[in-house]
Amino acid sequence: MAVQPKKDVVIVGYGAAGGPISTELALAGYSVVALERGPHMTTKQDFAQAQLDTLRWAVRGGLLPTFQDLPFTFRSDENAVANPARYAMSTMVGGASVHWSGQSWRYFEDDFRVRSTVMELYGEERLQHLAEDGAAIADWPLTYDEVEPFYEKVETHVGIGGWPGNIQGNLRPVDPQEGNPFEAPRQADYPFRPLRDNATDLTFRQGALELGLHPFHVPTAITTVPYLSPYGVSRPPCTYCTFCTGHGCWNASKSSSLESLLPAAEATGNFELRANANVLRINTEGGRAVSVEYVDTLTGEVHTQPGDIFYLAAYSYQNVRLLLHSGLDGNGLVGKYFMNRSGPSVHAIFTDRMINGFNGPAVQRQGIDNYNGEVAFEEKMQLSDDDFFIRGSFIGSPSQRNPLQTYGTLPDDVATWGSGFKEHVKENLNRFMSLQFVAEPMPYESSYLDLDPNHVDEYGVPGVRVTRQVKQNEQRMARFLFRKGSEIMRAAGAARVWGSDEVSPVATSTHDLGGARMGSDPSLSVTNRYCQMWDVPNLFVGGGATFPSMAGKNPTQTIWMMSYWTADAIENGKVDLDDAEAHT
Amino acid sequence: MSGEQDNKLRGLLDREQMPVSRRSVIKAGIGLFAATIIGTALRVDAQSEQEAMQEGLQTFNQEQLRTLEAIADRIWPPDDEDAGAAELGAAFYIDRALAGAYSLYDEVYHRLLTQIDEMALAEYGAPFHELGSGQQDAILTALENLDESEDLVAQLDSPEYDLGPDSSFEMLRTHVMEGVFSDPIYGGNRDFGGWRAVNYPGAHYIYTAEEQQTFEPLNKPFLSVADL
Repeated sequence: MAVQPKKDVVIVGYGAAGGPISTELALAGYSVVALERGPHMTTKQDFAQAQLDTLRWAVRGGLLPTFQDLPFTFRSDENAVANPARYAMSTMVGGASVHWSGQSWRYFEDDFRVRSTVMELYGEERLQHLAEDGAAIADWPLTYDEVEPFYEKVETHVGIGGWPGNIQGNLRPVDPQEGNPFEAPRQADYPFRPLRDNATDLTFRQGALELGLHPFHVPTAITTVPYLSPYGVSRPPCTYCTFCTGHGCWNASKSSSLESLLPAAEATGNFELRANANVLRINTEGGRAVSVEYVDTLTGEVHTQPGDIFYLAAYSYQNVRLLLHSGLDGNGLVGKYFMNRSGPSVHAIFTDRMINGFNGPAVQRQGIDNYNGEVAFEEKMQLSDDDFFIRGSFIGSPSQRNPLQTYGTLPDDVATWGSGFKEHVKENLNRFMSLQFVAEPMPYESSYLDLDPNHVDEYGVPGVRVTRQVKQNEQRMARFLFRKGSEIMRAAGAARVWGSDEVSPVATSTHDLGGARMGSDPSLSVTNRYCQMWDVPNLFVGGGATFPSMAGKNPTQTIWMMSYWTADAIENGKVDLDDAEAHT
Repeated sequence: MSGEQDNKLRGLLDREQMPVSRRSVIKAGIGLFAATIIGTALRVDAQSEQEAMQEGLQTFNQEQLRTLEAIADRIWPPDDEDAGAAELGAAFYIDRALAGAYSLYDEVYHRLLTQIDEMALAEYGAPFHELGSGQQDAILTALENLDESEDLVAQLDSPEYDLGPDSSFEMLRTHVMEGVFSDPIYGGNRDFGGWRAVNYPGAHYIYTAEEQQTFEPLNKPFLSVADL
């Protein structure tokens, strides 16, 4: 076993979470090493041409690990044996930020204080269904105002384009028809605009306006101009190809830790990236992390990497797995309060126009937040006790609807094969659209991650087992959203609308959060507000695992933001590396 | 003789024998209408064979290919305007995939094609590819509704299989449609016939604002990643 030279900072995993902190601490003069279990693929060598292939990447999941590589199981019933499940995130340099869609948000102000908000708005009595179901709703131990500068830093430094909906209280200050008027107030505009609208978006917009809603083009982590970031990283604008979610970008236009942040870290001379370095265990001594043990997956050699500060930046599942496998269970709280999404589905066919849903990236998308967070609280107040729910969802109109991804989405009365099927597909494939819901789920006492007792990887590390349910709040929300989504499609002129308002729990929704909840009370949480573990103060947990709530929004910008937030706390002495309770 | 040469020779023999037996069927004297249909089938066979000679079958023999092509054509049948899955090469696509990305399913595919022929023989006294389309549909419907205990794919039991298709029919349908709609580099979607049927232009780097915002059909050339 080879012991590597000690580094100031050891980053475990180089995906979204690993990017900002690696760059910032390397810029600040710390010696930083990032250990990434996957390979180092690059745009030039691996994405430039081969990525324009739906089968290989989006369908077969060419960037995703196999079960042998990353055992992963799921169950809904706590007493059942968990079944193998399909993993949806790559392990590679850049992680899932390489193949994500790029829908990029700031959370609402009240997304950071869900518990207080719903108590104030609705009172305990109206929240009975949540108490019955063992919901563990919490506030974050930080506020939107505190993290706002770091959200802005993601937008400028990683590269997010959008229409501002609220600059310092001025609603839709740039274009009165564009921007999300319900977004939390921002201090500054976006550095560039989002993707343009396509036929899918224009259609969605038509329906939403018809109903008096406030459609806007979603903020996108995709460059739409030649963009030079403050780090000096230059990238060309998107060309609107349709090989985006599930793919690496052929043109380096998709913002990712790989494209936006790695070059800046490498330019400092203080940063070392080690790919194919699979961290197996965190070694602790006297309540402090001293090193990690990793295997070079190309040679099979095991190495020890000592350091002063450790930042876990693998996917939420893998961070929790690594903590548990290392015996760091945070007083039994590691793995608890796990959340992921299940939503309704709404599909529509337009007979008066072609939608050509295949053209453009998935995140070329109009949407609304009229039913997200508590924006619709007055309408929700009117719901019967059996229909009432808290929180909500973004609703939008994704593209990247390639034939291989859409032929199977059929109304009930259409055969799934044969001449009737073919006739339907030929007639309607390019007249078809589906809505996207980013429904906010609740954390529950009975939803958690732990180590699977039946499956280990080739190095003997047990896989992650997901135990997750959907309960009344998710079911009620899905019924409401199905109705609202269907109304929008009909108002847009759809000849046919169908889908499902039933939800069931899933192993992964690619938004998989919680498992190492942050809080202000060490007895009720795993980390403090800076993601510093209460009982191992030189160990920080990045990524979505620390999130106490999920929001009706994609989480990646918040994951990047929290990485900047932790880096700032370390760099500026807001945390005490010997005592997690001594933070500012 | 090396094993590889042996296999090649056997492959050639199979190909030579097959049309002979087919011809003998025609010689047996069948009505004009049926002969026309078989004539069409022969043309397709000849084309398949030509392709097979050029490209080489990797997992199936000719008989299995013929069965799979018959299945593919019931899932995505030919119509007045567009080719069916067999002509598009969906069976070749599957043959290739089983030698590569889907090698885990190679063995079960062979057993499944045998099972389907057995079902056809038991029900109609002839192998699947010789049945009429209504009979073929009935067999596929029976396959679709098979009890889990008789379904070869449903019975596969290991973590890798748990992540794959749930049933034999689902596997066939998914793979046939992949052969229709995937990039032609994989052996299906010949001459972009799958994409042509739905006017999907394929591997384009760029969509202009005008192309994106029209509510009319797009008129873009068909492109494979091999063309880039």
